[in-house]
Amino acid sequence: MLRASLHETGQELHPRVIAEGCGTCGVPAGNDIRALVDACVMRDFDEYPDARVRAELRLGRDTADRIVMVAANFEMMNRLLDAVGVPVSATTTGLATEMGLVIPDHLQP
Amino acid sequence: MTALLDAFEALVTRQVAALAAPGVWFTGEEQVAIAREARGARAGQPPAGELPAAVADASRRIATEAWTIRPADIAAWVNAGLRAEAYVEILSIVARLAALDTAAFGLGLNDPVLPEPIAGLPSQVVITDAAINQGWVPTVGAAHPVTALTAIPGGLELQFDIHETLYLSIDEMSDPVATRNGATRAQIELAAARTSYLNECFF
Repeated sequence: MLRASLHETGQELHPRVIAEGCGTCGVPAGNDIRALVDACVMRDFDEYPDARVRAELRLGRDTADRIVMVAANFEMMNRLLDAVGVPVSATTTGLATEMGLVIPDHLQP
Repeated sequence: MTALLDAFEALVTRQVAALAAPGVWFTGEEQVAIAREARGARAGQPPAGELPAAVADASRRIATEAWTIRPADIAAWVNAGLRAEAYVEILSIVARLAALDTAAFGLGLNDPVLPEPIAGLPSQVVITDAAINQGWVPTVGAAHPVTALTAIPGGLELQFDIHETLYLSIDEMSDPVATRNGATRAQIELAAARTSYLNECFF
């Protein structure tokens, strides 16, 4: 869906950057979003204030809040899927390869 | 307060109420203790000793390293006396708490206050249609993001209360140009993908 949504606006996704954490992944304000998500998911009290201010200046308060909420939702979804052993789909396998990741055997479909 | 913060506060109220009330396999007191154990694990604290070892261990693993859980772990907890459906209920409690706590942190709020438990017995209702189907625990239908919690009555509703408030509705999920509060679908999915990467989750 990330790729499809970018395609709708004529942009190109660079998946490896999502994992590597530097450069631009093709998503507008991507670096600010990534920094805010990192600070929230890792509960980083040192990084959060700066990441929050940067995201809010770039995106606005409501959009920054929504980014936080989306990350929070996936804190739930990630745990559900990993703890239940839902096998990954073939499309996910392809994206993981592009990100430079290897799907572990126990999650192979 | 913004409308978004109002929506989050209302979500917290609903979710905390569910935590306080007797569940399917745990009392309200036990559910709150599971939530407390999960937070303690996240903070690096040792087990509180309030719960049976298997319940505490499952709560802590889900809270801090869900990606390391394997079928053998679940089998060990079941062999220690934990029903598979009760494991699913622990998962529901801890995963939903992770969402609420992360959102609160990112919104500049304190962690939601855990409720005073409501007295009463667990319902112990068994979903007879739930069975092992491509996953490690019983689900109604194949193991999938929308069936993960179907082994417990009300599990899916509590999951989707969070999902729709924090992320997208089911209808919006298939729309590649959906926006919420100015966030484009690409920005939303980047936040999702990065979170999954940090949690070593491949979905």
